[in-house]
Amino acid sequence: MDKGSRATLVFRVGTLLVAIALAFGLISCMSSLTVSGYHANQCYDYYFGPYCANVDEVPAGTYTVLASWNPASPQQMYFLNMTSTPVGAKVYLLNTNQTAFNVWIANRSGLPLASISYGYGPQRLAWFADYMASHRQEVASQYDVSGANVIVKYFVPDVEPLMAVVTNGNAQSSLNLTYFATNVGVMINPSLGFRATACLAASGAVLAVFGLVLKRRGAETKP
Amino acid sequence: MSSQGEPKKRRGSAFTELLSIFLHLDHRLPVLEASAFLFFSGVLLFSSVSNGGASSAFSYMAGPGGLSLTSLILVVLILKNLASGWGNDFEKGTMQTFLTYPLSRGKAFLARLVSSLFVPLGLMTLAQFSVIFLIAPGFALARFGSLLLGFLTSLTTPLLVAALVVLAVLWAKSGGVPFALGLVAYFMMLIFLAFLFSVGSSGGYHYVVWAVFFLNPVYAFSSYFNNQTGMFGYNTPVPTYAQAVELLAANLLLSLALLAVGALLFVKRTEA
Repeated sequence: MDKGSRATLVFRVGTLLVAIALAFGLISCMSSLTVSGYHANQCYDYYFGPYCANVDEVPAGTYTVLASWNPASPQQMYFLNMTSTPVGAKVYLLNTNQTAFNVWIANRSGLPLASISYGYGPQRLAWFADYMASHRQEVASQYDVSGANVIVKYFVPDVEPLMAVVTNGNAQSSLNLTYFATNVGVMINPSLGFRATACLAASGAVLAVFGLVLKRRGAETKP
Repeated sequence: MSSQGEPKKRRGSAFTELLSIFLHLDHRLPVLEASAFLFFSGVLLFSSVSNGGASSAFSYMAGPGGLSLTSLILVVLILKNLASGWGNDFEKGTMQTFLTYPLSRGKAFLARLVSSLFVPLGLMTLAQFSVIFLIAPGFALARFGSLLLGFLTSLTTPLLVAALVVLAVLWAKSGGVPFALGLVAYFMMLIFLAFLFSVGSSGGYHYVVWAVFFLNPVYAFSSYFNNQTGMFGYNTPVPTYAQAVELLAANLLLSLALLAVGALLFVKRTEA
């Protein structure tokens, strides 16, 4: 490959990266608008009527399982209570089958603030809210305290409640809830998208300019 | 030693030179850039990831979202390169110039194929996999096998169409008719196979359903996964996982065999 072709190749790789950056930028903007829409009204039109979430109440923290999952139980329920930090939130983890976790974030009185569940969101949320309101003590008394830790690793404020990572301290299962974001109109975490855009655009621009410089130099040195 | 090494080097550089000419012709600025933009936007916009098993990983790549825009862009790009580009080379006589390179006909065919077919395929692969690894790295790593399977399945229709267009171009030595033929073949494979599948399922014509499974293995895997989740209501034969993989392999082999026939035809037609 001669110098001219090499310069063209560098230039084209640069322009290609810039084009990919444009795609990421566009989708990140769309995602960002969707997220700000969520934050504007904080309400979700659920099956049982509108439900509003105040997700900012829920911080990252360590949560302790108060009731262990009992495979023999038809409800297969985790009942969690946040104990490590004195904030007004509780997390209920409901395991509807053996492969997926449903996570419920509720306030101190047991009313759900946000659902980041997989599959059956609205109906289950309403069902669970009702269930917890009337049977909370009953549920707690049915299960032994296992001591297993469920750690909420992080919450991403700008796309809350759509993104969170929950791992079970017993390593029975882990779930990256970022997947759910894509199902509700947020194509990509905007901050991640904008970072990707910036990286791609910067490296693309550098390569493209470098390619142009190489081209010009090649043209100047030609006899 | 140097006298033996020299021709090899020249042959290698002739291939690269021819390839760079084809790349320049097929992917002029900003065609490749526009394609990259559309590929990445399409993947980000229409592919949804839901946490789950192999089924959801397969659906991410070969589901309606994964197939719709990216597959169409790929087919249009391949048709443009193969039918318009290659066909015009024959029509305008530039093919004869390319054939004066000190290179075997087979390698010249390969160079054209790499530029026209494999570069768009590479771009699509980059888009699909980089996006899934960016938005859900844990899921992508855990389900890489199923993602790969879904990706290969999503390629079957574009590859089959590409192979048919190559044959049509070499047969007709022109671009217009093969372009139209390729476009019709693509949409027929989408619409007609859906119709056939529906008729085969509801009418109990199992051989029709198996033919559809072979021509578009997305149906085979969808039947398999839907059966797993109890979502399949028709009187439809359901392939086992191994059978679905075999159907996918058979379909890919068919495309490769057609491309091999294309290579032989190219050698024969350009020597004549």
